Amino acid sequence: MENFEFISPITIKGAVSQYKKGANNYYLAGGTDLIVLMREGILVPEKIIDLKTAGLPSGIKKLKTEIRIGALATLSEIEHSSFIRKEIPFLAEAAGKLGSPLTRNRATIGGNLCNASPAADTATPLIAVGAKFILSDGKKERRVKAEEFFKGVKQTVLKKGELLKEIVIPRSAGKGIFYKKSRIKLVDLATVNMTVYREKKKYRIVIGACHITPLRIRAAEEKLNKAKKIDLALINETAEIVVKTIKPISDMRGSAEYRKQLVETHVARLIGELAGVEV
Amino acid sequence: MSKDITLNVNGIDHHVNIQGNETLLKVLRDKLGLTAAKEGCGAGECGACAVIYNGSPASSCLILAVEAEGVEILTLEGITPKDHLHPIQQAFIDKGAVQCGFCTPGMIITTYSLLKSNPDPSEDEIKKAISGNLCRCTGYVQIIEAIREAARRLKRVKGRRK
Repeated sequence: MENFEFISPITIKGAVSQYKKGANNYYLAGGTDLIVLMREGILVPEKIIDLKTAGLPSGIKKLKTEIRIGALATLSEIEHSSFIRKEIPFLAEAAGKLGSPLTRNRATIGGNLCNASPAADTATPLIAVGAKFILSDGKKERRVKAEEFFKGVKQTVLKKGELLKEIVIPRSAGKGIFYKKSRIKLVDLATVNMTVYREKKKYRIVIGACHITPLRIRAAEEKLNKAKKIDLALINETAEIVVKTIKPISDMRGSAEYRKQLVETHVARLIGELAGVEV
Repeated sequence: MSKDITLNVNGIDHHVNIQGNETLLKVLRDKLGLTAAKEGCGAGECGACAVIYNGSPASSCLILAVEAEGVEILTLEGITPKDHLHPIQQAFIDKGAVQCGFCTPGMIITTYSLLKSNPDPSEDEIKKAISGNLCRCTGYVQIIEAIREAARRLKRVKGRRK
């Protein structure tokens, strides 16, 4: 690993202004991805700006109408939070399936999201539940919908220096299910992951690792939302729409064809579980 | 970048001069002489470098020494009593859970942390807890047995203290 300047800003404003002073500066949160890339020589930063001292909100807050998760909350905190497990169990499950406990004790939800891997495990539950992200450039804040945050592989709507500060999740009575398929049961990255969410009679279907971003499949949601009665035939038609919409690639974790089959089988199963229809 | 920092390791403050690009693992091993934590993969996959960091096990190969200032760090050396082995270490020996030994310090760190929060883990809970610690010798069966044995022994020790 090459040497760099290490900066511990004490405010978000300070962090952003340091970041903007060069073209090759990086924010550090948990470091479980960044430091690997630095050790491998893929990234050679000039400055590392440690966000852990910058006064970003941490932890999980329960408010009357929303839940707020600080960008620096670790995946372990989310996995083990009795409150998240009760209200958004599918997010707790997704957090608990990312990497190993050693990784989850350091890796942050903000890092997982800003890294913008199409396979990010925390992305599909947050999109499905209608989360919003609070972004800060040190002066102003703006809110973007989780589903509008991702722009491509490793690309987000974040402007230069702007950072993810907090995640806001509406409290609701909806129910969701997360599913992840990986080559081995634990630790591995997802071959596919997905969340299906139902609130009253409205469904949301979000598929990960099958497109350049995690992808919400609105046409399939419409099919379910418009139906008078959800039966096996309708679920199978919905799963077909999902498969036609995704554009998976073939890589070391599985072929495009295999991914399509996984998605078709499991999205149908998840919808069935939420609709009370045996699939 | 070079910096003088204070690292709190095993309850002792160590004043060390470090480079910005040095990992906590490298400083523990090369500057503090604490060689229990090992560098396996160097990418956070194998768990051989696990230490207790701020109360939870973490891969010290992916922590910069400069970030670790002010954090309580516990290594296997800090867990091992002066004149005998820790019950977890003894259980690993008694159950044949050590072959080449490279993964053992990390395994014991993870076990130590597991048994602190969950004194009576099920086999599934043990498997999940050690999922980030790879062993290429034993096939894990003896390690899981050792962890269950360690849990029994620690409960007995606790029982006697009461």
